[in-house]
Amino acid sequence: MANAKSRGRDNKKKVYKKRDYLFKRKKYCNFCDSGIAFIDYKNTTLLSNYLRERAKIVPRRISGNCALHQRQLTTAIKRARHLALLPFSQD
Amino acid sequence: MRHYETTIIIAPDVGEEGAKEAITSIETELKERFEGENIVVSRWGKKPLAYPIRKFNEGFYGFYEYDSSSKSTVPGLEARLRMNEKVIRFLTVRRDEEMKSEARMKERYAKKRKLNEGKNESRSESKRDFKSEDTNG
Repeated sequence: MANAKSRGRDNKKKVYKKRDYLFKRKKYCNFCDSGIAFIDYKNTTLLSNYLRERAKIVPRRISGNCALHQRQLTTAIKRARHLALLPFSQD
Repeated sequence: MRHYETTIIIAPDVGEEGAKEAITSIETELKERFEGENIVVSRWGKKPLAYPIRKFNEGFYGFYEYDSSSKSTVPGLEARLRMNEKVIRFLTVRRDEEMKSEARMKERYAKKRKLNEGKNESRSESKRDFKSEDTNG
């Protein structure tokens, strides 16, 4: 009994580790990596990479941006939206 | 001394000449009435708007960069822009603080790059390698 139990636990552990290896990839901040010190609201081609299909801002948990750059990015996108360079929403 | 950026959108129905005139008249006003210094003007031309503003689907963009140490520059200019019927949208951004932090961060990045010179491997490069391996396999 005890043996079977422990074996089961071991199996579970192994499976979890394999899944971890397969699906999780280390995310990193693209802006830190390329050394961008300020995200410009006029650079719409850059900003539109961080908009979803419906023109919503891609969250940090998806894009992997650091907190500082995500903050810069959101203000930049909001400024660009005010100037009609980027849409508020898209259907 | 503070550094500002102002972007304006001019209604398309005034035509190219009218937009040019409007942008230069705002520049002279900024210089003479509102104590703007070191003014740099750029015109982005006619651009499509991401959404209609006052039923217009495009507009002429004008962009000003200037310094000022007077507190009445931006409120004065913005009041004038609000009165101006040709201007359908404007945005003023104060940039001096942002530029300071930008310079600080650039220094930090330069230091990091020096430290990493020996290692000679940025994350994006290693990512590229990973991708190429994927396609080969």
